[in-house]
Amino acid sequence: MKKLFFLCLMAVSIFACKDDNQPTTPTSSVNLNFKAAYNGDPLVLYKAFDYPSGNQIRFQNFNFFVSNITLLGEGSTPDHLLSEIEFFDFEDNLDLAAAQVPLTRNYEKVPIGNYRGFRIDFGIPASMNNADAAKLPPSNPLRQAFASHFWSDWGSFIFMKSEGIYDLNGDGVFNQSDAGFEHHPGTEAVLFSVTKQLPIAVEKGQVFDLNLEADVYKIYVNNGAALDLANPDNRNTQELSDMPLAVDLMSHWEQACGI
Amino acid sequence: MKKISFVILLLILGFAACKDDDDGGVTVIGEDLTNIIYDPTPHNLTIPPGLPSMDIPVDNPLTDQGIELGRRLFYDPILSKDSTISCSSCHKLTNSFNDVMAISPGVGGFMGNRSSMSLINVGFQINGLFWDGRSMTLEDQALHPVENPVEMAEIWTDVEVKLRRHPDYKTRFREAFGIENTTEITKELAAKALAQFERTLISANSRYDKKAWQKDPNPFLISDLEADGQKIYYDDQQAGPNDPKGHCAHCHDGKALYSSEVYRNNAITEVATLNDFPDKGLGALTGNLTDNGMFKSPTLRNITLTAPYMHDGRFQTLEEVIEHYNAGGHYADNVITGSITQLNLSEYDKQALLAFLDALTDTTYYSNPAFQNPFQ
Repeated sequence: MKKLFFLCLMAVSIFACKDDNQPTTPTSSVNLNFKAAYNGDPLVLYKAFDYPSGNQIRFQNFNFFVSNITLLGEGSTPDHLLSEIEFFDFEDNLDLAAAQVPLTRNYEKVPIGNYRGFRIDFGIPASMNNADAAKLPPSNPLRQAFASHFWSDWGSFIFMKSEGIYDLNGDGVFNQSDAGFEHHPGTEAVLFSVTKQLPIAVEKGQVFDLNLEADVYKIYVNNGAALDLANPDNRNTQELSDMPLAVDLMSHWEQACGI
Repeated sequence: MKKISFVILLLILGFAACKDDDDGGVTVIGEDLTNIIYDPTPHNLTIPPGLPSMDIPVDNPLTDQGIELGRRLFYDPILSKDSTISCSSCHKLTNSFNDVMAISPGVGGFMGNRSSMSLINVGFQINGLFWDGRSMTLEDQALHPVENPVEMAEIWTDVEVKLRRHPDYKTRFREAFGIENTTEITKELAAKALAQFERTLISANSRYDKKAWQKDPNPFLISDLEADGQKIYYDDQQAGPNDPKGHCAHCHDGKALYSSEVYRNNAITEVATLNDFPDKGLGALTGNLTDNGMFKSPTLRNITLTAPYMHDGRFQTLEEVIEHYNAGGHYADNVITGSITQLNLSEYDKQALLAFLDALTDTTYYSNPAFQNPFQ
């Protein structure tokens, strides 16, 4: 009888246990959808767009890192980190149909609640911006882009690549006499944080789509002032002496990141 | 009567020992290998200081037995139709596992249309293999040359038969992969072994490796000329904005490979339109017009050992290569003209760049017995 009592006690003890690592807050899912644009129109690579100078511009590559993507809590809902790092590369924006399809990252287990907005850092924080990224798992965006985006001479990733050609002589034809540009800002000096106020209701059983636009026009044109691409000094950001230009371009993400 | 019965019995036994395989041919039933000990030794790959980690597939871990099998397959012409061509025919040890041909001949002397690529540090590549990146893994890459009519011109089913019948390989496949019967020797396992061997082909002892990544304090490792070349290579402006820039590292950065593994039109071919490239490169694979004429930026590690240069071997010397980029090359809509533009390098700058490229040379791996031909 005593044995039976102890067995019952053990059974009760076991059933009284539960995995307290399980989240008690109900969660749902958020999609981060990024489209690339040029002055509000879908950014189609190799397509000529009008530049404020009256000349045309054409992009061949556009990609960037974002980090610390965070939903900002409201009321009793705390902030929630969606992702430490992501890489968005619009290499497939080769026609209008492709450019209208956003690049999507899905985040599960987002606590249900009301959020007042989000924060995104354009670039990579110092803690992640180093050659140790080469030892990260293959699934990590930093590892995947390490070969193409880590600039050894700086010891930093290139945070954004915007490459293309500017119709220097304004003849409407792109050729060797025109001005290629290659903006590759990097290092912590060009890390910029963007905060947007936007009601975000993460509800049970529903996926919230956070639709964002990366408007490359607004990186080059800020408050009506366009970067003078006729000036050869403005066409590259690879050297330390180009840092003011790199900082200037990256600081425009506040406007360039649209909801 | 006894004789007839004996012959009939023999015939029955003979037929019973045969089976019709899936390929329609008749092959001898495999040989049981379970009497051979399967106890593979995990191989801990040593990554030199400064180099990134290497991604090893979970389904193909390195073992001493797998690597050794891969080495033998790499050097063995058994993979080719007439046993004249091995992997090492186009990937020679002393040429950074490349060769000195613009285009390498295959079986029967047939010529391909692209130059072979260096295999040194190939295990660090993460953005596609071949000039057009059509294989994403070494395991997949290793399957292609065997059946390429201008390379080994063989078919894998025949290779599998040759390997299954081979007195040495059946044991080695058992030891490497634990197969129980020779019928389990497949092209996939052969490719896995080749990939294992290729992942061991590591080089990290150039003078620039020692200075930049291994922090060797020897002040004489790099000459002043080479140091100036390094600045040009990396667009590193020490003296001012008018310093010469080579824009090399935009496509050739990275400690293991000196390649950013990007696909670019490097402006070597003059075409009227993007449709006119004689070799469309990446475009032939993707079908995207704007990918035409794009090829993978190859490793510049040991570049002095791998002439001639470019995907078609059109440049005989590095001087020609530097001159091409200095002139700006041929415009096409998909050339990144921010980098590939007239560089206006002086004669000194060009010599400095050339000297720096030489500092990326490492020949110490020549003497590594694990890389050498086991049949010699």
